Amino acid sequence: MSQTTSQIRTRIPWMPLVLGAGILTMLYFVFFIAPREIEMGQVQRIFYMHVSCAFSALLLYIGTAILSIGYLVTLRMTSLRVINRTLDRLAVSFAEVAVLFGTIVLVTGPLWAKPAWGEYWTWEPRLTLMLLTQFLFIGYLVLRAYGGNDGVGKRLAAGVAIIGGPAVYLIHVAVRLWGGNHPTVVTEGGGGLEPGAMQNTFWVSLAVIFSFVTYLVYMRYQRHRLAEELDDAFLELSDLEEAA
Amino acid sequence: MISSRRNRSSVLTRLCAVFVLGMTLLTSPSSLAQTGSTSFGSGDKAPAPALVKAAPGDFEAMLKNCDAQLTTTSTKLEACKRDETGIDFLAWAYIAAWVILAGFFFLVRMKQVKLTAEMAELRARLARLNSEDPR
Repeated sequence: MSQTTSQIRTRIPWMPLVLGAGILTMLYFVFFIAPREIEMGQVQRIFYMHVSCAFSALLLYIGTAILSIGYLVTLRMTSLRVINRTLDRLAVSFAEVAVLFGTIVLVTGPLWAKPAWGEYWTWEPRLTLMLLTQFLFIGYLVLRAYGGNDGVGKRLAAGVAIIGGPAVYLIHVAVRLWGGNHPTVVTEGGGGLEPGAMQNTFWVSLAVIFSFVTYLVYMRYQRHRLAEELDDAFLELSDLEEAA
Repeated sequence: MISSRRNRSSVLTRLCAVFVLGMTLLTSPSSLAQTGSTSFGSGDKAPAPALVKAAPGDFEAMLKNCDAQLTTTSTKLEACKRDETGIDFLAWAYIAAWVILAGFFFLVRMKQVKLTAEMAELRARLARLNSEDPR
């Protein structure tokens, strides 16, 4: 049965092991290799998780917007139906993982802000925009889940994701344009992390989180494909049963 | 024989001196404040005030040394206090991140269970249809 093969393909058996080893390596770097930061102390170690997750979430938001444009463009092209469905599945997979990592960013951020800035939340431009973008993509997922199966929900959701794309650019430039408490650590040349253990730990964290994100997107994509195949199979079976 | 003993003892004395000197340098307040620490972002490092040679009766130099020692000690205390509260937040942040990820995996697992049930239903219906089929 084609469904059975699909189910097998949703898993890469060795990948969780590789990711587990990667996560342990990342934690080892964060807690044992990276030096203690002078100004903020131990709490600065949140940076490695927080920024890596933020990068991932922002890239996934942009990815969802681009894939949604592709989905809408290829919607009426009957020859590109397979590509259209693939773009749609990829877009929703990207959005799910983006919301997941956006949530981690919005939780770890205040936990770092409290000891560093003295308060959990400030309505500074970057934080506010990040929160709004997160809400926008939660809206995307809600539309996908409850927008109906006739395609209207999918089209509306794609529109919402396209609106979310430029918001990511604004999050990126918010500190430079409007100021705020966030440091311009990575976005500007110089004055960033000191070369050596700190930078190495950051790159290791980024690599591990990116691998994790890639695997999650792949997993979600395969699950959506399987669910669609099952829906199609149920429809065909109902027709056959009626005919019989 | 005596000379070799003397040599050995002098080597030991030197080694002890190097060890004591090294430990003094490593455990001095200024080095403790710096060891294993690096600055982050554009924040400037505050240079630790250097101790000056104070001759007996040179009260100005003595006061300067006193200030320098006070600064490094207070910096050390501040760093300890920061770490004391910071470690709690650090732990909560990492725990929260892994809990969110675990929650996501739990939801994915629930959906997987639902899909498996649907697949079993599909198989059962297909088998029923095949058994009813006269061909």
